[in-house]
Amino acid sequence: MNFNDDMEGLDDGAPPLADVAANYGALPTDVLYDVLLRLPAKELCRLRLVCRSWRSLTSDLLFARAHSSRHPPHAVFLRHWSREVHVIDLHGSVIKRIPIRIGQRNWEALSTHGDLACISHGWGLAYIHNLATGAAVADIDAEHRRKVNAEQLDSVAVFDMATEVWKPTTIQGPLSSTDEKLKLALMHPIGREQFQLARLGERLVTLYCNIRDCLTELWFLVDMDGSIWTKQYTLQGTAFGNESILHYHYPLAVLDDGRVVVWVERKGELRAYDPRTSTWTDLATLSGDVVMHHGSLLCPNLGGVV
Amino acid sequence: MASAGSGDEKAAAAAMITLISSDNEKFEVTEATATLSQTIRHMIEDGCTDGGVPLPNVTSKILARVIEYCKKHATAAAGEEGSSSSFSDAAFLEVDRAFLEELEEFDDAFLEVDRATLFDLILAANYLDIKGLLNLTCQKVADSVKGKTPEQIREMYNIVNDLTPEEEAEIRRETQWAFE
Repeated sequence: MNFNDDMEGLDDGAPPLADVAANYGALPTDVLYDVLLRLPAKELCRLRLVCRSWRSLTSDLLFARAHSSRHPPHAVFLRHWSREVHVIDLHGSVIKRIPIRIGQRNWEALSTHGDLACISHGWGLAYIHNLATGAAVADIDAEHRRKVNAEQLDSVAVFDMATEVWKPTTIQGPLSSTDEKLKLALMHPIGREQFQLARLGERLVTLYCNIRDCLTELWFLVDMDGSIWTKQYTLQGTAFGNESILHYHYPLAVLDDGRVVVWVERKGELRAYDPRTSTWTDLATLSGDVVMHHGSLLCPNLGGVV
Repeated sequence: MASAGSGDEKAAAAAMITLISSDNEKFEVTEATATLSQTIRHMIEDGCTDGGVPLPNVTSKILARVIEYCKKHATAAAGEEGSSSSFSDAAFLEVDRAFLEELEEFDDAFLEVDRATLFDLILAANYLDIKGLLNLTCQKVADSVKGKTPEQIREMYNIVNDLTPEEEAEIRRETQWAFE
């Protein structure tokens, strides 16, 4: 079903009759497209050496988009001790090593957008690195950081990328719209740490750690103007016993089978939560920092930035 | 009695479709089998199947294999529909699983063909718009490509390397990480 949708981008239609009779060589382009879509990105980059048409087909923007939507997502892993950046699959296997040199030891991945990753180098410095090339392309100006820090718990400041200005109003978080009793349950002395923003696919998510009941709730933003959120997942934090909730369950992605991939920051564990059975599975243990990779390995700058 | 019998025969006859291969061989199939092909489904809906459906792109050898696939999958689909009403959930799941296993075995055996036949099956599935068969055969080709060197793939599929040494160097430079 999927491939048919993917093929809509191509305009080839039915293969010409001449191709069909006793064909032992080339497949029609739309079929080759469908075959190549099934291969992993690294394999495809290698197979660009086959011939020109394989190269151009696998370098195509539409192809790269279709490929991303049908393969499991990748993550970006900052390996602390060797100060390296890797693109990994969600089982922790390294797909691509990115040569980024960072002086400080206490660096931290903040977010990614397309091929760009915002990486904090410690001491209040953050740089934007291009993951396709490894180069630092910009630093974050302190003005923006102050603005973010000044925001209240449970409200989200919005920066308009088109006009490059902060919007005058903030989005009210889901906490403000829930009833008082729930609000009390969600509130806890560890303060703002229990409210955090995340991005799941194309959606903005806030997560709350409900310490008392050992739950992490994921609220998805439905309507930005009306500040409307819906609670889509409740992760039962029983996996590590009672202390579990203090280890951040940071959601990275929702897989096709419905499982939520979660980065448990302080444990250094990549785990998957199945909401149907409320069970956890271990995916990988990684010493460093993990964020999602939103770019394409096939087509640098697919995200449309730079 | 006799009239009821002939009525049944009539209904059965009405549901049969004749497919005609490029080498003019005729194949009688049920409508349920034929409509796994979206192309033929549309022809039936448009009422253009009287006197048979000519398929000038498909040889009798390949058409026979395609029909074999469609028969098996049409039967499985009909079996699943029937079973859902007459079994309890547990029994239904059991039957369901058995069907799926049997289908999987059938598909595996079906794909035991040489590369030329596989390509012809892909082209036929593409032309007849049989999603399941296209999916199956494309996956088989993708699996056969996995882990091969560019040279091996060129040899397997008679592809001429039209890249200049400069272009090859460029590809290696651009995606050096993929060759590590």
